[in-house]
Amino acid sequence: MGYVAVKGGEAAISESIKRLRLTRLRERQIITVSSIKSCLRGLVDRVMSEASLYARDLAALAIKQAEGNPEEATFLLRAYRGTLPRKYYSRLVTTDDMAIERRISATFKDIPGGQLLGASYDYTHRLLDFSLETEEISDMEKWLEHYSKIPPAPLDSLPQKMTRVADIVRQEGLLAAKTEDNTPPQDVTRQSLSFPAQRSERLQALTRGETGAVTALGYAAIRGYGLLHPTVAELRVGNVPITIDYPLEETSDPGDALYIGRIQVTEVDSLIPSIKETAPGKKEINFCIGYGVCYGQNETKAIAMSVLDFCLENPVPGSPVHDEEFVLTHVDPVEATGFISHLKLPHYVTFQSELDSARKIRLGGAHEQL
Amino acid sequence: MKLDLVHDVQTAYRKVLDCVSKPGTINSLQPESEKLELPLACYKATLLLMLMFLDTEVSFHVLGHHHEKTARYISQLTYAKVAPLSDADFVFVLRERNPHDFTRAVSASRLGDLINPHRSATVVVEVETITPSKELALTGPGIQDENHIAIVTDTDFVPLRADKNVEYPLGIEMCFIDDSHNLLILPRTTTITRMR
Amino acid sequence: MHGKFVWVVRMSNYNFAFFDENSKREIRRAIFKAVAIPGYQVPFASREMPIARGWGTGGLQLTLSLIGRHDVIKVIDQGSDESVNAVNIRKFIQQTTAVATTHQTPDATLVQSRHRIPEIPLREDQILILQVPIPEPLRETEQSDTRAKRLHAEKEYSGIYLSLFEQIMKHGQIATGADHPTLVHDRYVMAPSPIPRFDNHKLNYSAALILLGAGREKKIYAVPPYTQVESLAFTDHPFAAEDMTGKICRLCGARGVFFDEFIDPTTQAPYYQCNDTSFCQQRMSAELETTWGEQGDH
Repeated sequence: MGYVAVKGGEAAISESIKRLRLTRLRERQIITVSSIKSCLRGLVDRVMSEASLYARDLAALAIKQAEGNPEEATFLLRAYRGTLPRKYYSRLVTTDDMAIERRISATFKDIPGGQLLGASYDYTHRLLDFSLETEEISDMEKWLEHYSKIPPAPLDSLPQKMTRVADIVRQEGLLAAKTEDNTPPQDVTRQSLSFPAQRSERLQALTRGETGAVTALGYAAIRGYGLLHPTVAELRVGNVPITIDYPLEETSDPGDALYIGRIQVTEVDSLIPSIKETAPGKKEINFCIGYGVCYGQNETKAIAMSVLDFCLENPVPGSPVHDEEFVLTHVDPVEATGFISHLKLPHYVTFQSELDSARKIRLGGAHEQL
Repeated sequence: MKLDLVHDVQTAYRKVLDCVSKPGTINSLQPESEKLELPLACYKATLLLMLMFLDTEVSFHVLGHHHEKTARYISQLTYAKVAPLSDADFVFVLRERNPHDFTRAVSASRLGDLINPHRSATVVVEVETITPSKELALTGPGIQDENHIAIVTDTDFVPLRADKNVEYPLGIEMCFIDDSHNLLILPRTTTITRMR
Repeated sequence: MHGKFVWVVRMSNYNFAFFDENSKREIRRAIFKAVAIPGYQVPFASREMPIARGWGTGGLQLTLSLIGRHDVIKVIDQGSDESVNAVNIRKFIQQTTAVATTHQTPDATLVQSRHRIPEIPLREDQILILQVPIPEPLRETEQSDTRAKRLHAEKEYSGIYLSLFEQIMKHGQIATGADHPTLVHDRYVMAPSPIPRFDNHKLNYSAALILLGAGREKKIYAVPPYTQVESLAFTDHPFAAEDMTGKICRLCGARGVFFDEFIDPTTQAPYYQCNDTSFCQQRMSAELETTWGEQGDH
């Protein structure tokens, strides 16, 4: 009896893997990677952001393999990312170059360039649409045909320039003074995060963070655990171009740079008022920026990230959301889910040890009573 | 280069690990290092250690007569950056050198601090010969009772090293390579006494 | 069956031992410094792996940075080669290296283990790699890693001694289970990983090099051979391992080793089996001609 149990591990694992595959296939349906990529944009964007790998096809593949489980899909993609050779770092990306699809601000009713609503669930009513149950290819084609016939807006009605809202506030002199810091960023995937962390490390950890974790902590921060009252100055969603320096020469001339593609990002500038004492008895309010950015359209996460960025730049003892060790250590999706799920591993040796301790104490206590 | 960058570096590393975990152990890097054919003014075994340890994430410094040319070549080969002696992660002291180069390498190399004692330099010194003769007695972690070695080189490094490593856990690691591809490593935990 | 070598075709789109050479290099540098500072936790980048965090990625990164074509690897979890975690890790190592594997401790050159040190003493030519969940022995009294690092720097360990003392006050004795903290080379307090107290003495003056890896926490540390490792205790409350007196293995008759406890369904009485399953199997096939298994002084 004991002997057989000791030897069965490998066979049991093999059967479990078969069972897993059965679970994915037994309804006799296959979903294609391209279907996932086109129709499950929200999940693809979330997984790309948590895996910190911008690759829609790979994210879609991971989602297919993981049967839509975001925890598993992120894990697959992160592990794959670890095997990829890293040849270059891109040149600095600036969202001034963004081809904007959506851009809103909560700080002003109207802003230069206007409020561009773009594609968002914010303005829909969250009513289940049962007509989607019977959606057919012909419906899709009919709708797209109809949409293509709508004349596009005339070119001169489009906003010419979308000045950054933060720059408007900066021009008024209302942004908190900040010395420029051009320290080269520390890559957290190459050197482990250490505390106190640089801002570049914090921002990386947050953008790679598990969406729910970052959202929850951002929520706690604005609900009262954080000492801040943020407003979203600007939220932008759009594509930015990525360029690298010409690899075969020691040049950083932008004219020599190579364009390698573009990525969609969500970027948030939040403004947080803070009171500064400028002279004894004289107080002034100025604004600090909290910054959030994510691959894909991940608005909630980017906003929460901007809130937490401010919190971590401004530590407050005793407040968990202002504690960078607490926040940054616990938002990593792969580490959090890994450690939680490791509780499923056998722990009978450690348990045996604890049992021994408990029994000895009980015996010791019994002796005392004699 | 006939050196297999995966398998030969792996077997060589195991010997390095053996040497640092059991100080006084002398291992030969010849089977791996003799496969190297590069025009450098250093021992082949030294070059092997450079390939083993250096890349874009660390810095190094070279001391010796041909230090500039050697450093430039190593930078191109490994993408590691050259740094001043006081900052470098790895320091290489070539066989052909000025009398004070070895001394400087020990006294001026980076020591790390109590919060991060691992951030001290690893100093690799080329010497004439390394043998198990009873000249120096070694004790400490990795050594069952006592190990005996003799190192023939231009400098009496024992008191210099003792000074540098006086405040454990602060200290530097020293790797010695001789002209026959032999390797000996003294981590900071090893105590040395002269036998004669 | 014993000492069988399984030949597996290596996964071809990955480098030998899965990692690229740069990743191995970083880990090798960290191991080097870890061995030079016994018991001190060296930070490392800790790449993500196809095996989940918390499931042995630290130990695995160590193994994969050390392993070569001629190594023989043994992997155990909770003392067993056949535990699901051990099987998974061993399969991964095989698939990425095609290296020979074994269940027999004496035949292995590398032993990767979760939560136990094998009963058969390891030799100088072997390396033990332990999987570590929480590398920081001060974590219970100090949640912040930054502050804990400072305590280690100053050899300020009164906090952990205090917590052991509180246990004595509360329970009449030290009440740690596994992972009882140790003092290494009289300098660093070290978490030995959740091995039972029964195994702690094997760290002291070991013939084999012992490496410990925490993948999720990103730390590597080491105990070189022939290094002093003392379990923390007080002179009037000396360190006590789990009590195995009177216990005997139902399968092979061994005594004085660490046992798993089972309940007999008919008699409701406890019975015991060797936790180290390959040790037990070897005894049963009478390959071991020793008196190992007698309880004695450790």
